[in-house]
Amino acid sequence: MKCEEFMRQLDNYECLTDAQKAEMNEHTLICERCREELDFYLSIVAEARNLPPIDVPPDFLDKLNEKLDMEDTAKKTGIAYYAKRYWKQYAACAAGLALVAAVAAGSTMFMNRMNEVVDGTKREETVANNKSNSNGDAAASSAVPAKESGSAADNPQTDSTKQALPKEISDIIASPSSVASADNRRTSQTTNTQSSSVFNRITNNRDYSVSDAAGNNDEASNSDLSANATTETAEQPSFGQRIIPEKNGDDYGIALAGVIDIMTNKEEKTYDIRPEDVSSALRASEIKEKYSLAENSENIAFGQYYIIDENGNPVEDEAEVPAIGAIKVSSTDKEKAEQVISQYPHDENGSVYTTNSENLSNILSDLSEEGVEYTDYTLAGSGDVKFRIDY
Amino acid sequence: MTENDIIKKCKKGSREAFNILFSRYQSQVINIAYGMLSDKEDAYDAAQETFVKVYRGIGSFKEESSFSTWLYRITANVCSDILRKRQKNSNVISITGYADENKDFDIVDDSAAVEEGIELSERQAAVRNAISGLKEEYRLIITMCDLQGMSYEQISEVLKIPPGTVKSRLSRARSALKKALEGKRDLF
Repeated sequence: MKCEEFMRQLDNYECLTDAQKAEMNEHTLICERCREELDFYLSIVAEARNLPPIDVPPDFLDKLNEKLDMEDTAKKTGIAYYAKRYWKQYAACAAGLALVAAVAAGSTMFMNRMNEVVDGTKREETVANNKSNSNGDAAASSAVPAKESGSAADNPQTDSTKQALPKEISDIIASPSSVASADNRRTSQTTNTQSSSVFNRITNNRDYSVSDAAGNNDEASNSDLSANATTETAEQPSFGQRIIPEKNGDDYGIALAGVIDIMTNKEEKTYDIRPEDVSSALRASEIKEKYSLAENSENIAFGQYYIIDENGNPVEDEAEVPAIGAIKVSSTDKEKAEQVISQYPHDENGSVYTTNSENLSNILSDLSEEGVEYTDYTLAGSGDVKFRIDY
Repeated sequence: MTENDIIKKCKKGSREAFNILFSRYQSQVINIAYGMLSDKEDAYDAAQETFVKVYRGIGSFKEESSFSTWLYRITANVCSDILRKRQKNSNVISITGYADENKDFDIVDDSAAVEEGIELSERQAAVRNAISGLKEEYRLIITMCDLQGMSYEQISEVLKIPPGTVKSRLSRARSALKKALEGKRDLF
C-alpha cells in the first residue's frame, strides 16, 4: 500500500473491511508518518466517543410540564392557544378584529330586528346563541352587545366599544365606505358576530384534516342570524397541519392562521387584508402599522394572501427570493438525479424544486457519489433554495 | 410497559406516559442538541421545544419508524431552526452563501466554546471545540454517530439519507475534524 492510498482510506477507517484495515496496519509498520496519522485519527475518534454528556437539569421535567400545562390550558381556550404563539400578529390585528366585531354588531342588530319582524321568537334564540359563543373570542365578545337595543346610539355597550376603538377605526365605522362595506357583508356572506373567529374563514382543504374549532355552535347561530347566511364550518387547524385559507376576493374580515409544520419547522401565517383598509379609510402607512408589515409593502392588495416570510412580514423581499438555480445533468442520469433528490425533503412546483441549502449541499454531494456529473450550482442565499434540473 | 404501550397512552393524552417517555429520552435529546448548538442553555431550550412538539404532535406519529427516530429527527429540525435564527441574527454577511456551506470548519476560540461546568481534559476540550466549529451537517453526524453511538442505519432513518451517504458524510466530517485539530496535534 502506498501512503496516498493510506491517507485516502484513513478517514473512512471505521467502514473498512478487516482485510483493508490489516493492510493499513501493515503499512504503518514500515511508515512512521502514516502510523502517526492513524494514531492521531484514532485518538480523535476515541476522544469524541468519550466526551462526557452534559447533565439533565434537575428541574428539566418540571419546567417542561409547566409548558405542557400552558399548552393544555391554551388549547382549551381555542384561539388563546394561537394568540399565545402569535401574540404580536394578533395584537397588530386586534384593532381590525374589534372593528369587524363592532360593525358586525350593527349587522346583528339589523338582522335581529328583521327577525323580530318576521318571528318574534327568533331574536331571543339569536341572542342566546350569541351569548353561548361569546367565550370563543374575547375581543369580539366585549365589542358586541349581549342584548339588542334599538340602535347603536341607544346601546351603551356599543357606545363604550366605539370609545375604546382607535380613532381611525371609529372613523371607518362612521364613514360612508364602511357603511357600504357593512351592507355588502350583510347581504353577501355569513356574519357570525361574536364567534367571528379568525379561523371561521378557513376552509378545510381536503388534503389536510383540520380539527374542530372553539365555536361548536357556530353553524346553529349562523342559521339563526340571517336567512341569507351561507353556513361556514368554523374549524381551527390543529398543530402540525397545514391549512389553506379560503381565497375569496370579496370576503370581509381578517383571516389569520398560524400553522407549524412539525417536520420542517416552518411557521406559516396567512391573513388577508380587509377591503376598507385598502380603499379609502386607511392609508398604506397605517396598514403597515396595523398589520406590522415591512417598509416596502406598498403593494398589498385586498383579496391577496401573503405568506409571512422569515422577516415576519408578508413581503418577499428581493433578498429573500432565492434565485432559481439550474443543475445541468446528462439525460442518462435523469433517474439517478431524481432518486437522489427524492431522498431529501423538498417541495416541487412543476420542474422547480425548493429545499434548504443544507439539503441541496447534500444532494450535490450525493450526485457526486452516485457518479452523476453536474454543473456547479451557486446558492443564492443561506435559506431556502430553488433549483431545477436541466437535462 | 413497552415503549409502544407508553406511546399509545401518550396518544390518549396521558401526561404520566409522556413523562415516562421524556425521562427516557431527555438526556439523549439534550446531548444531541448540545452537540449541534454547543451551548448548554440553548440545548436545554431546544430539548424543551422538541418535547413540546412531541407532545403536540404525537397524534401524527405513525409508528412506521421507531419513536427515537422520529424524536431525533424533530430534535435535529429544532436545532437547525435555532442555528438558522442564530445565523440570521449574526452580523456575518455572506456574499454567496455557498462559500460558508462549503467551509468544513471554523477556527473556534477554545475559551469561547469550552462548555460551562463540565470538567474536560485539554484533549477533550480541544475535540469539543473542534466539533463545535464544524459545519452543521458534520456536527450533526459526528454527534449522532460518535457522541450518541447511533448506528449508521438509525442515522440514515433520522436524516432520511441512504446509509452510504451517512458513511461518506461521516468520513468527510472526521476528515474536517482532523483538519480542525491539526494545530493541537501535540495533545494527541
